[in-house]
Amino acid sequence: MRDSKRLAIFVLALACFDSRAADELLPSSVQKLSVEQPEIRLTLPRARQQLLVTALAVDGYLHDVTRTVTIEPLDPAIVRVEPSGIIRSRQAGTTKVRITGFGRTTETTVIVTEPNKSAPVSFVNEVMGVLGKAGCNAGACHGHASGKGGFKLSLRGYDPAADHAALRKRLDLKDPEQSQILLKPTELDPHRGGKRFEKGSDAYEVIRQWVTEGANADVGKAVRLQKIEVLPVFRLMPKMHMKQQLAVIAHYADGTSRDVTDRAIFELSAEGIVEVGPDGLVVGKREGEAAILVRFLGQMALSRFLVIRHSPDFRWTEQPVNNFVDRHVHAKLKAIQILPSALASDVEFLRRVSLDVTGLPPTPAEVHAFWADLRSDKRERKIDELLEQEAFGDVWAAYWLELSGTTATGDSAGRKGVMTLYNWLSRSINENVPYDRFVKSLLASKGGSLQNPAITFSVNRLPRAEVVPQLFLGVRLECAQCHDHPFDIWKQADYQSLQTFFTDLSTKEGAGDPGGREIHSFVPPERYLPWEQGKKTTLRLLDGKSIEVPVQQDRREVLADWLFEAAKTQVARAIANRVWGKLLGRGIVEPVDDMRFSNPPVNEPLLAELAADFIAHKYDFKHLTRTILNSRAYQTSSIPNALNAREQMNFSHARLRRLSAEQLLDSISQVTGVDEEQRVAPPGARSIQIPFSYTGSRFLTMFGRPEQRMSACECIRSQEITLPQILHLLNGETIGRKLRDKDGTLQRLLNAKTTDDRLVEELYLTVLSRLPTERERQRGTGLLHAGSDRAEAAEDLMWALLVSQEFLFNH
Amino acid sequence: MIPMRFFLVLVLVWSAPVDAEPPGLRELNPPTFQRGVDNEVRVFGVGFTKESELILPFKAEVHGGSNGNEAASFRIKPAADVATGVYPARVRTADGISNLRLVTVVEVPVIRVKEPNGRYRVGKLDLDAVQPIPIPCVIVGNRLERDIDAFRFTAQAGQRLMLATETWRVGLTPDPLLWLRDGSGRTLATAHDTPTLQRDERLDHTFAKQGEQILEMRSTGGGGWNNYYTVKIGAFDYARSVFPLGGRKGETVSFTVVNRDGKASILKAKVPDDAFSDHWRLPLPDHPGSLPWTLAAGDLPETIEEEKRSEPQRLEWPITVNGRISQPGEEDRYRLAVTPGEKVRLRASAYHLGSALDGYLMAYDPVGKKLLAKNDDEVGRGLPDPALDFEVPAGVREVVVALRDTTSRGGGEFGYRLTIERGGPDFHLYLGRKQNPTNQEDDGWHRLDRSDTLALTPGQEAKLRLSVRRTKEDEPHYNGPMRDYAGPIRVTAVNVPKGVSVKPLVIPAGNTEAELLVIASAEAPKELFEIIVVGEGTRPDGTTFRRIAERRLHLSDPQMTNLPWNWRVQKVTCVTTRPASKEAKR
Repeated sequence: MRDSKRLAIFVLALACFDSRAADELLPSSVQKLSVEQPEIRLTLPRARQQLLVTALAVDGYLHDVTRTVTIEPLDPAIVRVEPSGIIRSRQAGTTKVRITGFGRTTETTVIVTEPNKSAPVSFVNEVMGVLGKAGCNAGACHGHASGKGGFKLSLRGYDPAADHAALRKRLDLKDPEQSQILLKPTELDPHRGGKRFEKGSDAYEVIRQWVTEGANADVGKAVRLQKIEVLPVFRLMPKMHMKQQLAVIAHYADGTSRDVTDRAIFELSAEGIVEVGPDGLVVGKREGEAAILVRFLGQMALSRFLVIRHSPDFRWTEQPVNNFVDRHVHAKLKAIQILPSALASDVEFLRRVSLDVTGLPPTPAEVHAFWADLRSDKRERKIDELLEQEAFGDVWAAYWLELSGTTATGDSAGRKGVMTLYNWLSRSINENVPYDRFVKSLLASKGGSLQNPAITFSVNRLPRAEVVPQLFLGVRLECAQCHDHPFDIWKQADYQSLQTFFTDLSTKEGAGDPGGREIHSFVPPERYLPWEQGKKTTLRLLDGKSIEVPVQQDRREVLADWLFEAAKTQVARAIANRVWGKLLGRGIVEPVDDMRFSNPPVNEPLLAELAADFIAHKYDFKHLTRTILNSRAYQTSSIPNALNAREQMNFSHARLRRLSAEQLLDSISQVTGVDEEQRVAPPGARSIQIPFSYTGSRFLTMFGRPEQRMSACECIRSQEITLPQILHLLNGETIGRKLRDKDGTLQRLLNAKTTDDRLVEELYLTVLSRLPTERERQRGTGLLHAGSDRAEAAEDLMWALLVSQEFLFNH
Repeated sequence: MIPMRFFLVLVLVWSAPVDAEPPGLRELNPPTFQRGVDNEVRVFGVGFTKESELILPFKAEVHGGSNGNEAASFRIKPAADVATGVYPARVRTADGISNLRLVTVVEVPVIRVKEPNGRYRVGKLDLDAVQPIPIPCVIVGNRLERDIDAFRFTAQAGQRLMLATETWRVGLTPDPLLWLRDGSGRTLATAHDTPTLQRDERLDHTFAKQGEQILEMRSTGGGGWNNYYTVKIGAFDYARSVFPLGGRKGETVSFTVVNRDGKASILKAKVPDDAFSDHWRLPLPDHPGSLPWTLAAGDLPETIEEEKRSEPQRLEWPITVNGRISQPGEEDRYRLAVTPGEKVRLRASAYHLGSALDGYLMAYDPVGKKLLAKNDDEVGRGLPDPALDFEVPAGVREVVVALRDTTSRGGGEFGYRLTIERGGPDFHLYLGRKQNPTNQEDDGWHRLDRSDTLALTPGQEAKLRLSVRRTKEDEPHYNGPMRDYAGPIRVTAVNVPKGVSVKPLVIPAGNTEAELLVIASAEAPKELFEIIVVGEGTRPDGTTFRRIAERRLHLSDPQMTNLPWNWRVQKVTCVTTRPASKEAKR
């Protein structure tokens, strides 16, 4: 057989397999056939509706069978049906549409009506939709800041008036088909952007008709698009390669609605799990979760997909529950047919929780004490004990400081400002200042920064209109500075409104200012002149509501109050997600500071209850942290089981996390007993206690501590594993110097003249917070016996433990 | 072979008589002495000789002297009845007198840091490296920077202690942070830059538990010379505020002193009648936790703000009104009758008088609803007190002056003195060359600024350098009202003793630098004496005005303190030296 034939057969076989996967439902396996739209209303002309037909299988899963059932109108004069399930109007009237398949029949009603008045093509609602779908106004094409080929459209169509003005030059009203706007996208004229639609297609016809009708602009006159809706909102696919057709409906201010599936743009939140075609047909590709963002003329909707590998033999075994966190995590795992890993051992737990809460592993004494504690609630007690350590505040102070953008250099806060801010942050966390008060202080403090160091939080170049929503709402607004956000609901006007909360504030430097800056923030005193009394200004909040405040009002206070009133749920969700992400290595929404509309949480009930519980406990930050730490979800082993090895999103097992730069250096210092000689902090200070962006430490930079604080995004910190890191650990001076230090742990152990067995045990306990296994013990003592230099052998052993993955990772 | 030419030159240089420089004083270690006991003090500087004397303005037994050109050791025993407080110290040699440094006299033991003292281990304070101290005491430490110092003391449950630094206010460079911990190292309280103490800080802590406590000292900045910090610890009462913040020269004023508990007491004192000084220090013997309070001495009539008025208080001016922004958000308003075209000058003084106020001054026309002038800081960085000049516009007969805290704070510690006087062309007259806080070259510190001193050699002319600020260009960092006096300035000296004469000087119109010639005869005093230099100008309307020449001294490294000047003198300290014919020192 010739190769080409073999290839053809192979491709055919693949195609058959693919279609079988979607169509493998048998009549006997279908319980019910239903139509997502029980009644369809179409308004002439150019009306269409994507029908969705769903089969409920006996195993409880829903299957899209739109393309496999027979769909027939009872009156073909009124509508016609395409094979993909699209119903198109022909004339006014009412008809039933019958759906037959799997031995079952169902019906839906279609009502086609004439328009109330002549319906010219709407530039705003139809032409702009065509341009968007064709990608003309995308950032890579004419939506680019400088346009393409001398033709510029607003990015993704956020400015229809400007777009209409730009289009006018490309129209031929006398001979519409000779318009550039039709010749270019059909490539009848050369077009570097390629063919965007065919001559005669729906898209072509909409534009041709619009030009024929005079190419009128109806900006500000067209009926307003209120929202779009996508069906289905959620679908669980129990197998790979299943398909699901989406239908998108636009709802207008006049109460009408219209199918815009063919005009909507579909984008994936995560690559590889599902694929979606331009017609809205979704295909499951591999296990996981993905959301499809549907956009149409500035409105957005979301359809979520969960793809699992259904196993008829799967049996959920009831798992112990420590608190509500576990109920939600288990519910999700049960739904996706995955069993969580076993509970982490005491050793694993102690090391993990110590690193997470204080940034350091437990000392041998702490390990022994924990082992010796036989109380059933010893983990809870340990968590409580760790949360009371001042290192907890240091860890979170460093976190907030890094994201604030505040530095000791340039025109930022200066050395003194950064130091006092760090101390304030650390003490506030340790004193468990309620989160609402904490945020309000950072956002809207008055007076001078030396008496109130929280003011320093804002003394940097980062725009407040971006930092505040990102830090406290988990919303990235920076795109909206220049244009409407492409993947979220935020408009440019939202950004501009938020800016007004900060632009009116005056700041100045104060007197107490050596090597740094004392900052005073205040409302301009001229606002208090007698004739200014009674004057008010209107502010627009991010939820679209406006508020009128006296001109003397510090606008930041208004924003801070709004955060903990109208927006309190989102604020609570944002911080709950941050804490979760920091403790479990992945947020319920990931990235943790990107809680955009198109990036939904993997476990909404969990996030919702964490937030509600946080609010109910009066924004008690330690309570939030404690709740998560006490959950089995946090305390689950990092060793996967047969079912969850590939599962990475739903917290079925603990993630392996490389120690952060500070955790690693501080841990090395602790276990070797040799403090790091810090260049910018007192001797013996930990890396986490360096408040400055500049540390003078090559090690910290190499392991990902950012040298510049240029963004409020967590992504400024690198957790990558790089070759220089590995080389440094293997050959660098950091470990070697500390191992050989005469006052270090190793020398102390050697000087104590312990037995080899005891020495091996101590080294494992010190470095890995556990005892060696029998095999490790034998190999360790063997190593000590093998050479003539016991000290060198012990150094080799300790070095090997320090560069082991077990030490380098939090597990 | 060495060329003959070189040999001759060498001999000439070696034997030439050269005027030796007066001594320069860098620092005293420690800068704090306990009265009634011997205090070992090391003094560092330049130009010291075997005859170096330490000049202290209080009764003390002083022994010792120079042990090199740049160091001297003294044993100082202040008399037991010396008032505690801050005093200037200088070194005198046969070549002249040094610049000024400040020392403090205290009544409690002075404890010096014994290194190694204070360190961390894996980020926690090492409790084994903590120096025990008695209570009460004054700790003197130095060179904090990246180091930390830690001190251990015992406190009883319920015991209340004050821990306060006296550092920046006495011209020392460190900018420490007070960190109070319990015996286990857990944080109890921290303090940094307490309002009214400028850049010093105070903790007032009542200990919940009996036992050992730890004071940790950290640095937030500072360094260079004069790198010492002092902390006073004890169950001291202290003054939170004094009101009013000054008085008219020669008048007796009842000052209300509010102590640490908010309890007020009255302290009557006479404002010194020194025509040539605008500030003085009020001793607070009942408040040993406080340094003597710096207060103003004014020349104008004074009044006290009438509290709780709904309408602006009417003032006859020129006047100094003593007021207080008693509540957050409060604004004090005064109504002035004015004449169109009249020039009005306003100055609020607070910061250097121990007030927490960061004042903001506005003058407006209440009828026309028009802001006429406003000012936040007279001198940009470092001095938050406002001042402004304005000319009354046509048709305006009444002006309201409003003063508030820039950040809308207020309370008992927010006192002020608002001086309202006639404005017009004016100048600043300074001792020495131009000063610019942003330019290290001009700061004077590196040269151990002796601009407020004069060494007079009998029979020789001594030149006292003067500089004038007339316009914005002369003093670009200055943010207050511009004087723009362009006319000639007649310079005279007062308090000139017998045997000393000063040559009259007129600084020509527009000039900004001059030298005053002072000549001493053999009859000149052998002891130190002070003269005052006064400049007089005449305005276009024929009125004359006088300004005292002053020097704003850096007592410590301006790069470290980042303030323009932290000590202001208005008198020239003079000394007669041995006759010429001195030999060069090697």
